[in-house]
Amino acid sequence: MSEHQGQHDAERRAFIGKSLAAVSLASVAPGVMLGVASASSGQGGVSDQVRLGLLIDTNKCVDGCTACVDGCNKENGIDLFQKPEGQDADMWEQQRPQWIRKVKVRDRATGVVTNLPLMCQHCEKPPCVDVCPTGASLKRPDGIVMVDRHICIGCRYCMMACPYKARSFIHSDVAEKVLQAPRGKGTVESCNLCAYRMDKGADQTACQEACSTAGYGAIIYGDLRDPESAISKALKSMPSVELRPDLDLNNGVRYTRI
Amino acid sequence: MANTTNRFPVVRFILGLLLLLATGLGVAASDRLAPGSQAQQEEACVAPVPEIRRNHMNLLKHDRDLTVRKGDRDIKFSLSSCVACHAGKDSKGEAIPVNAPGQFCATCHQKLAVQPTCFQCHSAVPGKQQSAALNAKGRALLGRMRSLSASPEQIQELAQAHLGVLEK
Amino acid sequence: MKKLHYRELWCSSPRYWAGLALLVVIIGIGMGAAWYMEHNGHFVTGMTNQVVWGLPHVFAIFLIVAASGALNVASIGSVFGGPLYKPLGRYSALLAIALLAGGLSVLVLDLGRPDRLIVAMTTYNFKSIFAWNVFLYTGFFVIVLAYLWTMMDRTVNRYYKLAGYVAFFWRLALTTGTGSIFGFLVARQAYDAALMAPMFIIMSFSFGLAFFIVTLMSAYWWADRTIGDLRLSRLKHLLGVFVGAVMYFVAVYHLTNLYVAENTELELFILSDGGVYTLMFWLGQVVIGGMVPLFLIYSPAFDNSRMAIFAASLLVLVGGFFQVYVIVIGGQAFPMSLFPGKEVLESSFFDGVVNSYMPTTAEGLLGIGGVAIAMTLVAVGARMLKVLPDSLDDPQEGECA
Repeated sequence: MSEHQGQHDAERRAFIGKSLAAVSLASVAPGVMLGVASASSGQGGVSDQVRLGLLIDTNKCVDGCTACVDGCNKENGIDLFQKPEGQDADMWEQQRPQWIRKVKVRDRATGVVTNLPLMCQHCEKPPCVDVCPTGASLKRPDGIVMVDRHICIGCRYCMMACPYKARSFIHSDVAEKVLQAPRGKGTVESCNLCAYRMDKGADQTACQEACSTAGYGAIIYGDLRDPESAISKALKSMPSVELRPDLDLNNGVRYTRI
Repeated sequence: MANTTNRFPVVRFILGLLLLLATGLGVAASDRLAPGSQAQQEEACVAPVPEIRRNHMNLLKHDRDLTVRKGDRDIKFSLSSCVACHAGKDSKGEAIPVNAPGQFCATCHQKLAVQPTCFQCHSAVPGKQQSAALNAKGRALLGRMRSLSASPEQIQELAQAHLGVLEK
Repeated sequence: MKKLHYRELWCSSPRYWAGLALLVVIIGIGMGAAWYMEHNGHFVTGMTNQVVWGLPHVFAIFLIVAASGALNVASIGSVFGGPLYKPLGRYSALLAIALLAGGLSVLVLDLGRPDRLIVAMTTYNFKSIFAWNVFLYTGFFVIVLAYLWTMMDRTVNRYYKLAGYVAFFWRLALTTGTGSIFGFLVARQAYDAALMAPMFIIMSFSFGLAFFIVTLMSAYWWADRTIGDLRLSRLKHLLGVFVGAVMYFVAVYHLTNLYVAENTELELFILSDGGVYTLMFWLGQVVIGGMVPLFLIYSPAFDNSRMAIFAASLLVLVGGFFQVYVIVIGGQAFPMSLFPGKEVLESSFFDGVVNSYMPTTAEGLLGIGGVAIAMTLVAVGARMLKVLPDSLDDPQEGECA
């Protein structure tokens, strides 16, 4: 009787052992294959020797012109956004995303009026990146500040933290999605210096291209660390400031003649 | 359990075979492709079918982090290329959203009851490039034309004309 | 010495079940409101790209701040050795857990992508105070549950003091974290102040104790149990101290801001030009939330009135709600100063103008649902667990508690 039992025990043990081995193999194997079949070489990507930014010559910026805004909206699919059915027009005006906007300011003391486009300032020490709980708000090695919308939970803390109110929240379903700026309801976005088209080899951001086409040329994009780039030369030739210099964020976007 | 499999070795064999089949090896792949999609004309996917079936979400996730966080666009598993290849076409030749009922994604995902959330943000049809961005090849062409001292308008015109051909 | 006997809260069954049913209905409506906001997107709310945090956040922050303060009573009993407070410790812990759960549910349900909560709990950017708060809040649950366990189970009672100290310091860290959500922001003039964290701590003391008194008195009234006059009077005077302290912090905050030239416009906005925010500040926060309760607490005319204590606590809660509203929404309504020394003439993104915010019904229902969640947890917990003493009569001559 006990002999019989022992034989069954041994078989049971063997069966369990083989099942465990099979299960472990099945769980580990995909990981091993993943390592082998893994995507790109991982050597690619943008360099941190480059720092991208914009220089805006407010002298050339014209009252009433919205070329840069229209160019950005077209490039990044923002012009495809429709007001949700039944929504109040005024409310929608406050809720629709805007990556760039035109602002007109007047100096209180001198009365001088300045026009300028305002977008994400791509700070070197971005408050939005500091406060994001999941790390969705990130700064790329080349200085572009943007949102990884895959892990954005839509808490809007970055929108509270941004001193330039650069970020927008997507308040409704997105009907038409564009390749260069995938966006979905419930996440946050902002100007990403046209990272998609720049990575693919363009040399002008959409706003810069629109401004040049309109004949004003107020926006220059380029590598702030390259002394030969157009933007570096322009920065050396005329005085420029960052907005809210008291915050000491070392913005990548600079303005002249403010 | 041990008793049954002991007395009938055939049972053991059949169980093993069923387990093997459940891993998805050797199952014909072509019945899942959307009619009219480019994938039907391709010989193989970017990775072996059983592997990509099981791991596509991990591969996509790994590559998306490379693209978004490091700006590396030279990746093997790009969602937009999956869509471009696998989106079916209707009778008029228009692309059908790849995640629509009955289309490519649904053939597995409906049964698995796992909803792919990719297309809440990403386009489910192959994209027409909205921007006039030039890719690297286009810029090289532009450089050569500049050196031939063509007028700026001519250069722009030629560049635009070549855009469709050079864009991958 | 009369032995302290804890008993589950039994009040007449129909009354209890009816009350519970009502709470569950309110929760259901709140969940429906949350689904409506998530399904359609936030365009159905009053929140915009200018005022990004709205009424749900006011409710959530109010409840979370009150939660850590509700634990104060237990801390006084265990950490500061106040014998009159010791019997109240168990209920204090239960209330703290319940309020935090209510506040967090509202916060989580208002996220743009609540389905990504798992991401929020597994991916962290530790430079963000929000990320630390995830740990502080979940840790609070664990620690206070352990604390409650040491109070209720004699076999682990020897860890009671240790649990009490850990809970006390943890809740200080938690409320500091909550106040720092605002204190760490340089962008907005209303928030960029180190004072925010300690002010939130003292607010938590005040709101938490007010919640404690209101719910304790209600529970005992419903269950026909007695609270002694001396004990209640102690709680009343403690509340008076906290209300006074909050008013002190608010005064310092505003006086400092008034002194600084760059913040003068903000102060004028809150204190006189802000329309609804000014009204909420003076009438809601200062009068209803501060002066009337202080009068009710300290005036000799109300020395023996239990109704006065209850009313004072309720008014503190109302005033506290307005205080959080002014901080959260008023702080966003005031325009950011992007161009110091200049005025904005035109902008499509509402730069330079006071931002408008009108809360919608859905947001309010979600917030109220959160309060209902907290109250349901209290109701169920008090009925299932032995957290409320049979009688809270004052100790006789020679007794301690």
